Amino acid sequence: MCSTCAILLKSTFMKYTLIALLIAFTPLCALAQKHSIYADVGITNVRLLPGGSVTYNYKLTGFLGAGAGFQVHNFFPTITDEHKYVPALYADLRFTTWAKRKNSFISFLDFGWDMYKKDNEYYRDSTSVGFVPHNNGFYNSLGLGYFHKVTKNGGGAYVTLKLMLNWYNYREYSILAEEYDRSLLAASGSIALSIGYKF
Amino acid sequence: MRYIVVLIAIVITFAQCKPDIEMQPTGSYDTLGVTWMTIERSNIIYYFQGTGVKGASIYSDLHEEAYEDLVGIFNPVLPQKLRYFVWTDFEQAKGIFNAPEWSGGFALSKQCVCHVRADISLGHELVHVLAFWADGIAPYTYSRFINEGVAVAFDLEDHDRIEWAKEVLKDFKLNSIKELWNDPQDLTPHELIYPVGGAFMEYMYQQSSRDEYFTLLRNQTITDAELIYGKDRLEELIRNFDNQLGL
Repeated sequence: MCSTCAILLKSTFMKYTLIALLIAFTPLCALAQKHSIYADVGITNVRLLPGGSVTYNYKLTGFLGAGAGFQVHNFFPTITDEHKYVPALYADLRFTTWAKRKNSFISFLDFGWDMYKKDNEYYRDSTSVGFVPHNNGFYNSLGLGYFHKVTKNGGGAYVTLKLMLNWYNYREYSILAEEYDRSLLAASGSIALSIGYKF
Repeated sequence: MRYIVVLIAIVITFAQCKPDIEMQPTGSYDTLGVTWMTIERSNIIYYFQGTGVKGASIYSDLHEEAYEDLVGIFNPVLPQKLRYFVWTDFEQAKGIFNAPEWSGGFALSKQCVCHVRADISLGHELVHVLAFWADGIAPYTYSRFINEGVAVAFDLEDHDRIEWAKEVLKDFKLNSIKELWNDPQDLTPHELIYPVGGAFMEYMYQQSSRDEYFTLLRNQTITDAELIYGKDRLEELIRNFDNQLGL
């Protein structure tokens, strides 16, 4: 089991991490409401394994923010890989609706870098053999979130549902004829359901 | 010096772009209404229905590796080199050999020949031939349950065979695996005999000495197995396995 996986599975560790984040970021956010941190833990549809993310966000306008984040989730990064914990660094764009009401919705779009070492396996179908030539992939996610109660500082607990995609290069060699050999841009996806807190 | 650097850069660039094909075709062969592209490797002669050289080369690499893995288990002594026909249109093969609609391959073990669709498990048809010629001795008696079971047990697929068998058994009524073993008419549905047989032969491999297991491969009926393991021990082994499957 990888070290990230071991850490995530230790719920006590996660609890204290969240408390530490709460203590660290609450005063910061009170001072400057333009800066916020979204921290969440959740599960993916791959055997319901846990993961999490932390995203820094800078409020550009009343409803639009931009930032960057880090996440670790468990999924199948490519067609030839086993499911594994994949860390990702990403840039984040976040839209808030009903920004002045007690409850609100957010939607977000992330682009970044999935970091993993590929398995050196081949995928076969009835006419071809293929493999993934490179480590790492392009991370992209699209999500929706809901705040039931937004605090005075604009923080609060939330729930999100996001579709995560890992884009990677895939080379396929045809047994049928060489003219069908091709290099493809492929995507492997999973869905994460998370709960978190905005500081 | 400047020209040497440029030359090295060009050489490196082209070296990287050159297709990395390990094995070139070694010939062609006409049979069954197909002109086959052949690649002869150290363990197997491959016959490809298609002409894609790089794909065929990688495909043969994977199967040579699989063969080496399986040789360590079965110690086969084949009377001739294995011939492996890879169909990209397996419907055509089904028509020629009258193979069942659901099949993706079959082995003519005695003749050391396999006919396969390119995407079936790496080991399955290889095992049929290698197990048949294990230690150089062909089987005396045959049971479909044991024969298909060993091919699934060593098909080199990374999956939990007990869980697969349990999952399949949700859709079938079975009291004991003896019902599958004692099936002289070969009436058991393939959806049942492959996963349960595979799990059973994997279990028996773990529970047997090498001598017992390979004697079972040569003498495959349940009556033969009673002589190999002893009636009481075989009963116990079957009961334990039935319990694992929740029967």
